[in-house]
Amino acid sequence: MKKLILLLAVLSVLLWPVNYFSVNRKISLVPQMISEPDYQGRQLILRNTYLYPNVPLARFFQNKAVIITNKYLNNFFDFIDPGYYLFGSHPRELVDGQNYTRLPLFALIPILWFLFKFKNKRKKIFLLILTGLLLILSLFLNHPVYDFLLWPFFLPMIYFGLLDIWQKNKNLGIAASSLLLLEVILELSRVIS
Amino acid sequence: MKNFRKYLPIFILIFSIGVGIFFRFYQLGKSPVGVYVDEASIGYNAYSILKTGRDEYGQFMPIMFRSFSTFQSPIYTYITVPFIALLGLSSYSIRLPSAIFGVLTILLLYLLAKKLSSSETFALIAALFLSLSPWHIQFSRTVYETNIALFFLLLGALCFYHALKKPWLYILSSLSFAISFIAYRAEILIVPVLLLMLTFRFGKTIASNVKSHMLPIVLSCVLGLIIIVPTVLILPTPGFQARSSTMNIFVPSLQEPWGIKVDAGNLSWILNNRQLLSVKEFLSLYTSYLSPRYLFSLGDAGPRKPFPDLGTFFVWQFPFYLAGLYFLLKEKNKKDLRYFVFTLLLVSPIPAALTRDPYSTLRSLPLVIPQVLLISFGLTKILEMTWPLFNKQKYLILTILAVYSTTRMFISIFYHNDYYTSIYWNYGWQQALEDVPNLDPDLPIVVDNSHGDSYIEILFFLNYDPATYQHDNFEVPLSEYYTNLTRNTTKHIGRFTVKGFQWGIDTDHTEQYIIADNIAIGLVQIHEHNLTIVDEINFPSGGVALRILKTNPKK
Repeated sequence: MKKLILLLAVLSVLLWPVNYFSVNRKISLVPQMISEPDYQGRQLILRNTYLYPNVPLARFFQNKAVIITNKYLNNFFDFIDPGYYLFGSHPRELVDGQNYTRLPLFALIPILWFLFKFKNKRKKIFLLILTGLLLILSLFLNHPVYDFLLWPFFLPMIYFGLLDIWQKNKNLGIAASSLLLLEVILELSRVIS
Repeated sequence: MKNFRKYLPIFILIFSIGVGIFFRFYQLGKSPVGVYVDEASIGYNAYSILKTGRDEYGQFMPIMFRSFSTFQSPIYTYITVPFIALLGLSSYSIRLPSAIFGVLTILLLYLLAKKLSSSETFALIAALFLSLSPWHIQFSRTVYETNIALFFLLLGALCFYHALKKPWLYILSSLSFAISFIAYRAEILIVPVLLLMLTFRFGKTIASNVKSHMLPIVLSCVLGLIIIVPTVLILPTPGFQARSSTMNIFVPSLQEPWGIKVDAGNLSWILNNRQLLSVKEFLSLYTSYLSPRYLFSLGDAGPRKPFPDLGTFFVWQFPFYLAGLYFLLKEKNKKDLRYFVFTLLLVSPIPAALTRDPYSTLRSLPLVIPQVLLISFGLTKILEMTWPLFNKQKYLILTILAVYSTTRMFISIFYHNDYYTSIYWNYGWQQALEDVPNLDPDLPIVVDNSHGDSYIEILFFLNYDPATYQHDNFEVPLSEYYTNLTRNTTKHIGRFTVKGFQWGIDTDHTEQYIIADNIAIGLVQIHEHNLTIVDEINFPSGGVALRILKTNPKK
């Protein structure tokens, strides 16, 4: 049974690389940092500055640090948006076109189970490393092209989540696995067709 | 010192409400600049009801207001009537009810949070966070029915919880829920589900006191039904359905569903199954209402919804949102709070997620309550857990964050918003109409309406006599008020004729004035048709909002 669950988890995560490589046929992994000069961002800040009641206030709220901080936060929030993984960032797609389904919708069941129900000594360290990785990846303007680094984290989440569901509630395990399998087949055929 | 501690909660509550009043009332009639057509419609129809008892189409006390055939919920319009009677028809008088109910909602949230949690600190933080919420402030400064619906939804819930011990409050609860139900379309779904969940939760408590609860419950049910039945009868009419179906993602439309695969081949029947795709789109929209990306970063992308540079909540509230979710799920002594928060959290996005607009803060306004409660609960728990560590430092950090955010919000609302969004608030009509007395009184004025229902702006700013307007204009027979969606696109308002103007006929043959925006008549056309620019009204950001032109027909 464990092997079947592992196979299902692998198939679920497989959707991500399949879509990743179909979108990024000419992939460039040259890092672009959020601190790179941003002409448009500076123009916006200049325009906003004139709208402030006084200069010190404008300088406090409108400066280079604000551009960089906003970019960092936007990247981080992209990563923690469920829609990023499940719906290709729909309804507000990313501007760089990296909008594809990374995980099947029903993978959410084992993932949530893993996050809230699954008990393991190493879970905290696992989540800490994942959070650290997200915080580091958010430093890149082209952060979605580096999200392949997250693949190894979702595989154990889906696997251990599903396994734990099976062990604690067999009926729920059957339902969750069947739905997931069905969706994986559907989503993979969507890509292949 | 003892006295200080005793009165500190009252002081904080007064401070929260004071801040709430400031952000909701300061420059209320002036910012946003301009009056959006929906606002003008509600205002003028309230004025029309005040003067004639009928709306602009001549319908006596409508159950829903026809208003551009979109059929607006009636509560805001009726509530506005006394304000207009007292203060006259203006942008201030029509926005005043929203601001008042916005402030009262802060007080209600304080009472509800206290009732559900028995924690003074939590209730005070919740009140403060709602008073500082950009989301709630936005809808408390503008004429949107959703804000009033939210007030009555909360009042209904508060009365319900109190009614468990004082059963006669069921009547007030039922009244409030019923008003909320008819006050905004989203509540047509939210109110019944919330009521159902509350009944489910407290069914046993009510059943165990059936003797004392029965009569008030029966009475309140009857009263509630009396209030909602007229609206329920309108629900199946083409008028109501037209608006709902154009927005609903489950209703087939010309627009392809999201996620369709053009080259699906033999698998098209399953991959492009419209129902499956609609369900998936619904889930994606629904998830967005709970996603931190939208709450703390993107906000609402609608033209009139967000304040520039502000999300729905402040970024620093994000850790408290997560903490609130975690602690409330774990907490064993706060069952009522948990039940209420998660019910409203999960139900509120449904009506909004059924529509195509992404992350609509307008349709999901009730969601602000559970999310403020979660953030407040997270902060309360963290403060409790870290007490007495770094006591001064942590309060200092929180104060700095609050002052920083408040200042940023102040700038955004009162300095940036009008600059960036005046175009979406139908700016310019008031200024254009103020110039009309200076024009030649013998010449007619043609107003272009190809880019929106500008006639309502004219009626609103001229305080035009509703009886005369009703007499001079006809749209549909009153027997077909809710069923016939035909629109009369030409309106006669004294010397004004509002219509889609025609090149040549309107510009070259008759001597008259034309009021139009820059898209309808640009500089090239002005030269081509030998028009004279009498006046230009510019947006605060520059660019022409409206032009008053005079024709010069060749003799």
